[in-house]
Amino acid sequence: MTTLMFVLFLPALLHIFIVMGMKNLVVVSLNNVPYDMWVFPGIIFLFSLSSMFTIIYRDMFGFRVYNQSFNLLTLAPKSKFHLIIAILVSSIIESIIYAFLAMIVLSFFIESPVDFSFYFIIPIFTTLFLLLIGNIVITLSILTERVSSFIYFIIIFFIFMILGTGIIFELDFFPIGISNILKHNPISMPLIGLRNLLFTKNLDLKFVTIPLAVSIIWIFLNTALIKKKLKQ
Amino acid sequence: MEASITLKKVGKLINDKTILAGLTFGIEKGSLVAIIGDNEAGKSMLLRVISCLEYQEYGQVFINGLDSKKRRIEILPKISYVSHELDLDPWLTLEENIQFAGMLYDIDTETINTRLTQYARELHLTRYLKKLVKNISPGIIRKGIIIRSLIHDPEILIMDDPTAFMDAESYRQTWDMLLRMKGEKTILYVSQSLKEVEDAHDRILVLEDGKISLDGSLDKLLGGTFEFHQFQIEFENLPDDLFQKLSKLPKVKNASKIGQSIHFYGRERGVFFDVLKNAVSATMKDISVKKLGLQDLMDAKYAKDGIH
Repeated sequence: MTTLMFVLFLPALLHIFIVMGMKNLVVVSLNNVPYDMWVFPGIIFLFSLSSMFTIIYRDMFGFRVYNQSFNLLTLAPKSKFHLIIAILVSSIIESIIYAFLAMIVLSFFIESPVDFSFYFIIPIFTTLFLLLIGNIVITLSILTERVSSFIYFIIIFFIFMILGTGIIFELDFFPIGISNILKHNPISMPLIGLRNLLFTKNLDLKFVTIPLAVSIIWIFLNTALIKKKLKQ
Repeated sequence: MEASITLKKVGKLINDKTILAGLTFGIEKGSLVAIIGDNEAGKSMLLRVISCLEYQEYGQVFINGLDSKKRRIEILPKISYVSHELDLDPWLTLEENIQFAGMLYDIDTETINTRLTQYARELHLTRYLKKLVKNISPGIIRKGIIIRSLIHDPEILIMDDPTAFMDAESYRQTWDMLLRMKGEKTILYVSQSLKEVEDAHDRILVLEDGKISLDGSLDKLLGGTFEFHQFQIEFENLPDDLFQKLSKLPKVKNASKIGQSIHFYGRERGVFFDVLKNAVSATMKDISVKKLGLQDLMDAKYAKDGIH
């Protein structure tokens, strides 16, 4: 029931409070794309981001801090690398399912027709984005001991994500120096690459390869961190 | 007999505090070994180290001859660890929790379900299997955790207080099952209940400040440490001079006067008759003779100072 509410109402809420207000302020993007269409992938990213936080909190941080099943996971005859991959893959699959449903819900709200290709391309880039986000949340789950600290960091990270990664307004609105830094942040790259592909039909591989490379390195980092934390 | 678990000079430090200090011992395959000791003696840490949940700072642990640090992945399917905590996922049913554990060990669904059904029947847990763990009482969850630990058919069971939270019936069912497995599986457990340890052991390890202070069967430990009996005689009136006279008898040890009673220890039951012979002038109300047990062994005064 909670999941259903989350999938149905959160996209609607995001649409009402972000799109309906902002589209009167920003009618079209710098590339002349209607704002509601331009922000559509960003809303999906924001939605999948919130589901990813929740899932990893439930399956890793919660297990660890409340001593639920975490010993069992670490005592299974699997390497820590496998453990990290398993948590990432299962949480990404769950998030992508929610994101897909959210896309369907959101498509009823926006005025411009959503191209059929969006339903294939957005989940692929969302997966790339979630691979990075998942690693960040796993690192946080390993390093923090208290729920309050976890929530504190998540709030800060959420604010940064909303305002600093081009989810609801373009990074070009920032002063040029800051804009350049934010555009080259691996977390912003999947969304920039996705919008380029959707709205200009231009696929720049650097927006895919850099986040992917950072994610892979981060998986190894998380593997080392969890080994150190568990003293195993 | 073949060793199932071998420790060689195993030491564990936490923040420069020694938790385990150079432990060396072996545990035979199929044996039932209990570990007892005071709080902070290092019992739980010893189990965590043997079960590969934490690595030792120095020394080596071998499971079936395999080094636990170097060949961890090979060792893990052979062992199973039951934590002191109720560590099931509260948002899954008892059955789902156990099935999930089986899947982690790549056990096929049919085998998982067969074992689950068999153990659940044995522990009278069948009617709780479909319930969410958050709605089940701790004693029942504990039985579920024991089934979860058996689902991959480990050779070695390592259990931290296996019957904690259990009522008398669950306690009996659990030990009936574990004692049936003795011989096929090596069972190593920690318990705070000395009665439980007295009833279920081939060997007892007494841990004190991270070291093994005593090691052997209950009879061996009591025999080796002090083969004493405890006596108590209650008089209608026990004058001081009579107490002094009785306490100075040659074989009477550690005599004390509590109210109108004399308590003392003696190596043989014959001491009792000597005392009776010397106390015949006074009127006696009650007498008791008790062979010392694990509780007496663990009693700090006697465990550390002995009987003089």
